[in-house]
Amino acid sequence: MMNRNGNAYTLIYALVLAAFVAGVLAWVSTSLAPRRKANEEAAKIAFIRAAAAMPEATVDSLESAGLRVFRAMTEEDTIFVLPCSGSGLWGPIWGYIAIEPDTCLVRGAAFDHKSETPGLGSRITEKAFGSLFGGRPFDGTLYSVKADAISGATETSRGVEEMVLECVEKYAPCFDSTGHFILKEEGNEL
Amino acid sequence: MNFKETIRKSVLGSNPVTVLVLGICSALAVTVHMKEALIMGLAVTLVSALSNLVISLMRKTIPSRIRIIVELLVISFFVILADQLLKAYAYPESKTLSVYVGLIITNCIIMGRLESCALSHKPAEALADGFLNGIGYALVLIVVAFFREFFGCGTLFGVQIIPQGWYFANGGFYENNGLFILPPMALILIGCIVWLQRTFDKDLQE
Amino acid sequence: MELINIFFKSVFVDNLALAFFLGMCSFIAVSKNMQTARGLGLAVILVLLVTLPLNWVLDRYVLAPGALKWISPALAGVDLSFLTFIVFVAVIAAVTQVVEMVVERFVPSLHLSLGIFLPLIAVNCAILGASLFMQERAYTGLGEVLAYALGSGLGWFLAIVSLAAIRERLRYSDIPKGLRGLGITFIVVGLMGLAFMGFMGIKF
Repeated sequence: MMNRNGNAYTLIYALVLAAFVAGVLAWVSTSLAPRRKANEEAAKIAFIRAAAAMPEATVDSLESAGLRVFRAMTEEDTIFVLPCSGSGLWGPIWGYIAIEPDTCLVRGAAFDHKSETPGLGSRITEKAFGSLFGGRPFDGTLYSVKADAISGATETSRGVEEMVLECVEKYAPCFDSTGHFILKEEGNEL
Repeated sequence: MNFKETIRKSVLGSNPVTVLVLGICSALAVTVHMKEALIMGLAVTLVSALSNLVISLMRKTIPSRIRIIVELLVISFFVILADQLLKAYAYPESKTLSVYVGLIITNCIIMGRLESCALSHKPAEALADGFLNGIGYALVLIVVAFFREFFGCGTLFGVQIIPQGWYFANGGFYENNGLFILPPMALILIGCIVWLQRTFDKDLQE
Repeated sequence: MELINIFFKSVFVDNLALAFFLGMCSFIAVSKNMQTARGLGLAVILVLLVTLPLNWVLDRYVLAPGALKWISPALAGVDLSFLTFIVFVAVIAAVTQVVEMVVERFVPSLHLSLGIFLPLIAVNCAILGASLFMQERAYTGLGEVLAYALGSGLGWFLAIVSLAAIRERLRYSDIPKGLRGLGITFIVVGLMGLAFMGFMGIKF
């Protein structure tokens, strides 16, 4: 047997192990990618529906003023849903803000995250947190909930605040002077 | 060795959190609610038992100079693999695990056990050691989470325990204590647990 | 100016040990006396200064979605971000192992007193945490990354050195028997953390 502390043995051992680990993980990741994508799409639609509080709605995506907007429709109701993204404490956070097309008030919002602390920052996914935004005007005062909206998760709450305000600014061109939502192009199937 | 004695010793006498001072960071982060504490406790028990077993099987081949990298590769390989598989076949569950991935990989209990047990013991002993240390860790997490969730949120496992009518907002006399949600309170709670344990177990006193 | 802000913010407001409570295991276990605390603090600064720039380069040119574009445009669609954890951790472990060898060779006394905790820097969540924070905050250049690495390392150093100083004084205090040592240390760190929360409102 080779010397366990020799340079050659150490190097070969490290290379083989690293190649094995990276290879298996890469193979698993690529072969499962389609399934994962499908799951992520489904979760996205579920989130858009949750933000609009319309569990049965059909969702499609369209453009307004060059920006991506989602539309959730049922027979009697249509809601526009604006995506937003930002960063929390440990990783990306994102969310969907649902707007009533006539009044331009926020109907609700839903948020998600990649890796916020369980039990603290991760609570932004809770329905109660999203519904804090319901009924508010879509402008700079949208996030007037206090910065410690989730006590103990200061950094994540701050991330949500920044993300929401950025979204308000970014989607400002989508509203005309009377405060109505402008729709320029027809929707595509999501 | 006496089986009961072994369990008492690893779970209490050399408890990873209150005696060996390992795994503190996650004990602060995930003990706000009991549910998260329980999941984290179980995940760490599982990963620590399995990686202890695997490293113990590999122990005769590992070059000593790169043992840390090898140990970490084994731990993170398991955790990431599980995360990827769950993402494809059990998406809702994967949402739960994903947030713990980093916390499990860097949990120094697992690393500490690999260093001081798996590298020098037979697979069966290593498996038992990893498992028992995980249990000891889970135990502390759950005790801390009990106090933090009860006083901080008035709930246990998400179920409201303090009657709604007691709260100030509803005309009552009670208010949840926000201090318990903050991480420093977990430190103070663990300090009290250590105090209690050392009052009864005089061998541990300094 | 930006660099100075990043530096001071990571020392005080985002102090890895006392604001985010990262690296607590070694923080508490190795702060019994000033000498080892100083040694570990320096080791953390050193490891951070080497690993953060390395991880930043890896993240930017290998791991992030589409990061492989610089090799060939055909690779623009490759997303290796599922390897982030394992790569970051491997880099940290490799650097730690090198530091361990260097310390063992040149400062054997420090190596003896740090004992099990030098290898444990590899899983010191402060180091991985700093790497993840760096990735999340999307620093734009190596200068910013270095300022962040130096600041957070120094913050951790200051925290462990102050705790060690407090613990050395505590040794002469008449504390209830069961609370002596570890118990009171946990409580002291909790109180220090509460004090550091005062920095949270400060915006840079």
